[in-house]
Amino acid sequence: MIAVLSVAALVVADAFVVYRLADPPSYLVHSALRALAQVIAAAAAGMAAARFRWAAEYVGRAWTLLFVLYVFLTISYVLDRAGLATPAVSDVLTIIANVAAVGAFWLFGRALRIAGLQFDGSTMVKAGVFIGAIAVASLLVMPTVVEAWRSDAGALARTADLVSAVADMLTFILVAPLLLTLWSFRGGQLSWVYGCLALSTIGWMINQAADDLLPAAAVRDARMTGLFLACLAVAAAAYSQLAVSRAGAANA
Amino acid sequence: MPETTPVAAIFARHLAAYIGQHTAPMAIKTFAKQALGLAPDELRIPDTTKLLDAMRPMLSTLVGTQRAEEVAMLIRRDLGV
Repeated sequence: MIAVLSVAALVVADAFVVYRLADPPSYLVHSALRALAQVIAAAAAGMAAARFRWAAEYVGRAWTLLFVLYVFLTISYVLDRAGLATPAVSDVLTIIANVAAVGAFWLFGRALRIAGLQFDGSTMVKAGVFIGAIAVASLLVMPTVVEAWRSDAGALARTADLVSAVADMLTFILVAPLLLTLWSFRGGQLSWVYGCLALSTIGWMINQAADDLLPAAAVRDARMTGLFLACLAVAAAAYSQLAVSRAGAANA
Repeated sequence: MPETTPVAAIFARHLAAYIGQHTAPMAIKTFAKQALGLAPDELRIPDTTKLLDAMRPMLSTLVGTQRAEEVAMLIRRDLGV
């Protein structure tokens, strides 16, 4: 609930306050809001990773990779906005962030199976969720993959674009196991973790879809809504994971 | 008192707090079968340690090692083991 209200507050602030400012302050405040959202996600993921001793435990590895994702996204964004990033540095940061994203969501998506459990629901429903996720991912990202593939940019830039697009597609597909885990754990505290992670991916879907599917006037707000939702949902997931791990959480 | 405690119900209550009321009984059924060759309603208090050992990797994966140990301790406490 706090995450949803924070997303609403940031979107309203960006759409109705920052948008109406004159350009130098508008650019600064808008950039600061974006960076703030990413820093919140990075800090929350880092706290969750530290709680599980970073790479020492399965769940810690997943949170460590999410931490890497948001740290590198933030660094890349700030360097870019400050005019300090060379194309090569941006490309390398993009590649690392995207590989970390796929790794993180792969680990979260596999957690229930690694734990020795099975998704709840009929085979038909499970197949339907995966097919739906593949369809949405293809619809949203395939044009970008094709564009990156055909691009005549330099080798590193093309690789970064391709890695980014393919990583988006994979993480969008991996929303399927997150949703099935959420459904399997419904009523349990862990359902909040997986629900918020799925919401985060949906935020990135909105961000991705804005350019291709929305009218020009709505693109900016939709992209910001998606980004804020993605970042703050990760923070909410981390908070839920930390709450689960606190002593006495299930002491009946 | 512990001799009359329904073992599967105690496990289910503690697990459901994390993995929900639908998956908790499934987990007990799966691990009781794997580790002991028993159905949930055949579980008895002496089976507790072996069942907890079987479930430890699951709990560690989902909630971390420290919390997994705490949950195991709470289950042992409730079963008087």
